[in-house]
Amino acid sequence: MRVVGAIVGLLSTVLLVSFGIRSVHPISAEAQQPSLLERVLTDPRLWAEDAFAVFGTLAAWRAAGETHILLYPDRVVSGSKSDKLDAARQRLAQLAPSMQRPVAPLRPPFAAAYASAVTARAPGIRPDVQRLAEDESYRAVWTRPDAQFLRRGVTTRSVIDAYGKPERTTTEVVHGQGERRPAVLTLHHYANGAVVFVESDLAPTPGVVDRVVLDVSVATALIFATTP
Amino acid sequence: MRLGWLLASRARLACLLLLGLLATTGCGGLFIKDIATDALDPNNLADTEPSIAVNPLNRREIAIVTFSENWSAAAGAPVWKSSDRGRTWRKVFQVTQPGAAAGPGDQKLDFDAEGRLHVAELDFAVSDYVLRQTAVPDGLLAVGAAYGNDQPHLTVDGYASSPFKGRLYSPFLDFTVANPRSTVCWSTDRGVTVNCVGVGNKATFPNRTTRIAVAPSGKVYIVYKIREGLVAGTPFEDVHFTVQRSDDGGLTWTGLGPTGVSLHGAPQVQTFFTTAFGNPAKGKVARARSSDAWIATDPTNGEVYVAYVQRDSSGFGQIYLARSSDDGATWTSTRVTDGTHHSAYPEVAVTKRGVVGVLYVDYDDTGLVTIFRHRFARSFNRGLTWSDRILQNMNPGPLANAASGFLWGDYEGLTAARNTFYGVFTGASDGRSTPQLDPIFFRQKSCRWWSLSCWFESE
Repeated sequence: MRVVGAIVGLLSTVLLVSFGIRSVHPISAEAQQPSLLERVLTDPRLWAEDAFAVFGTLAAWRAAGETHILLYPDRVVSGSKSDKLDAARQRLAQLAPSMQRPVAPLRPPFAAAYASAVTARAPGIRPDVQRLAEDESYRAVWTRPDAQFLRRGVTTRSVIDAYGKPERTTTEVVHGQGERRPAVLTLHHYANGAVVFVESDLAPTPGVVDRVVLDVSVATALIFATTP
Repeated sequence: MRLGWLLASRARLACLLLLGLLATTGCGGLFIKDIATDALDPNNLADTEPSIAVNPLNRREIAIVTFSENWSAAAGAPVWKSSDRGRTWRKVFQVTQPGAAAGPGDQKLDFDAEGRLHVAELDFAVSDYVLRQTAVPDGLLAVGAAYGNDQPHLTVDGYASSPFKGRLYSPFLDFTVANPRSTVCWSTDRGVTVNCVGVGNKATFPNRTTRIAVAPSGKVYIVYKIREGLVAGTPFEDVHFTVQRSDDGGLTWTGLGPTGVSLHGAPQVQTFFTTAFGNPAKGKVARARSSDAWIATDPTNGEVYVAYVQRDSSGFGQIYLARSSDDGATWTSTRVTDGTHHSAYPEVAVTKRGVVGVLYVDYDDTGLVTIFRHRFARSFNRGLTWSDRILQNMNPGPLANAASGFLWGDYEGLTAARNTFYGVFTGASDGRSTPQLDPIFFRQKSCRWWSLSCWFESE
C-alpha cells in the first residue's frame, strides 16, 4: 500500500513538474513576441493597403500552387513563369478565380492589420498577363493604374535599420535572350529566405528596394488561422 | 684614332640624348588608372561594359560611358570625362532620359570631326536613341529619333577624305524578326532622323555581335556572326564571321556582294556562346555571347582589321586578327594569342602609322581560383607578330559588386588617336575603400622603335 502510495505520489509530482514547466517555459517570451516575418508582413512603412489586400488572399495563391510572389510598388507578379503567352494565360485562368474566393480566417495580428484592406479587397485590381522585360518570361500580374503594393522609395538601408542585417546577401544575374544589359539583382534574405528584399541595378536609384519576393507557403502558414 | 674616338663619342652622346628625350616624353609607357573614386562612385556601382572615345580636335579630352548611375526624369546618366589625357576624371550627368523608359542599356560613344560628342543609348524598353552634344561640351545631350533594337553601337565618319564626312552610323541587332538580323541606321543630321537598313544575312540563321568601322574612303564595314548552331556539351557555337560593306553612306550594303564575305572562307569556326566564361568550379564567371568580334580600319591607308574568336587546334577559344588590304574582298588571319588559355572579348584599333592594338580577356584556372586577365597585344607589323602584356590580373571573387554571369559586360573600349591607344576595361579597383569593379583607363603611345617622327609627334 505504501509502495502504491509512493508511486502515485511520484507520478503526481512528475506530472505537476512537467505541466508546470510547460506552462511557464515557451509561451511567455516567444509567443508574445511577433516573429520577424510577422513584423515585416504587418509593417505599414513597407506596404500600402493594396499589399495587405494581397496578403489576405495568399491562401488562395497557395491553393493555386503558387510558391512565390513578387511585390513591386505598382504590381504583384506570380513567381511561376512561362516562355509562351498561351501557357501564362492558362496559368492566369487557374489563379484568377482563386482570388475571388472568400478570404480565409486570419490570425489576430493580421486580422487587425489587414482589416480595412481585406474588406475593400483591393478595388479595381485586375489580373493580366505581362511579359517581364528582365527575363522575357510571361507572368500573371495583378495591378491597376494607381495601385501601390510595396511603398515607393523603401531603401535597403531602412530595411536594415528596421530588421537588422540580412541573414545572407546574394547576387543574381538575369539574362534575356538578347544582347542587352542583364539585370543584376542583389537579394537580401530574411526569415530563412521567406522574405527577400531585392535591389536591381536597373532601378533609377541605387539602394532602393525594387521588389520583395515572398514565400507563399511560409507566409500563408503564418497569416491564416486555418489554411486550405 | 682621336677622330674615331670623337665620332664615337658624339654618336654615343646623340644616342643618350635621344634615349633621354624618349624617356622624358614618356614614349611607349603604359599609363593605367582607376578612374572611379569614392567621391565619384559613392554607391559602388559596377561600371560594366565600358566604351571610350577621344576628341579628335583636342586629344586631351576623353569620354567614357559605363553602366553607372541610371537616368531618370530628374537626372541624366553620366559620361566619365577627362580633360588631361586621363589623369583626372569627373562625371558629367548629361545623358538625358530619351524616352519614357528607364536606362541606359547598351551604349557606345564617339566624337565627330568637330569634336562633338554622340552617344548611342538603348533604353529598357529596347528602343535606341542617338544623343548629341549641341552646346557646351558638358551640357545635357539632345535626344534624336527613336530607332532600332538590341545592342546599338555608333561611329561617326570623321574623315576629310570621305564623301560622307559627318554621317553617323549605328548598327544594332534586330530581334523583332524571326532570325535576329544585323541592321544599320545612318543619319546625316547627327541622329535627329535615322534611316535603317537590314544588312546581315539571316536567310537561314540568326545574326549577332554587330560592330562597325568607317574607312578614310567613306566605305563602311560591319562584322557580325551568323549563328549556325550550338556545339553540344561545350561553351561554343558554330558561326561564320561575316563582313559586309557599304559604298554609298549606308544606303546599301552590297559592296562585298549581297551576303558579304566570310573572314575564314567556307568552313565554320567555333566561338563562345556561354554565360559561364571561366571556371564555375573556381569562382565567378562571365557572359560571352556577343563578345567575339570587333572591326577597325587603318586611318591612313584604309586597310581593314577584324579581331575575332576562334577555337582552334589548341582546344582553346583564341583571338585571331584578320586583315584585308583590298577593301574587305579577301582576308588573311593570324593568331594573336598563344594557344594556352581561353580568350575572348576582343577589341581592335589601329594608329595612324598602322600599329594594331587588341584588347582582350583570358583566364587562368590552374590555381585555386580563376584569375581573369585583361591583356593588351600590339603588332607593329600588321598582325604578323605580337607583343602582349597583362594590364591587370583579377580574381572577382572578393569584389562585392562583381556579379557572376556578367563581370565586365559584352564588350569593352579601345580606340586610337594619332599614335596612341586609349582603352578602358572593367577591372578590380585601385585605392577604393571597398574593393570592387571599376572602370580602368589606360593609354599607350605606340611607335615602331625606329620611327622618330612618330616618337616626336605630339599626341
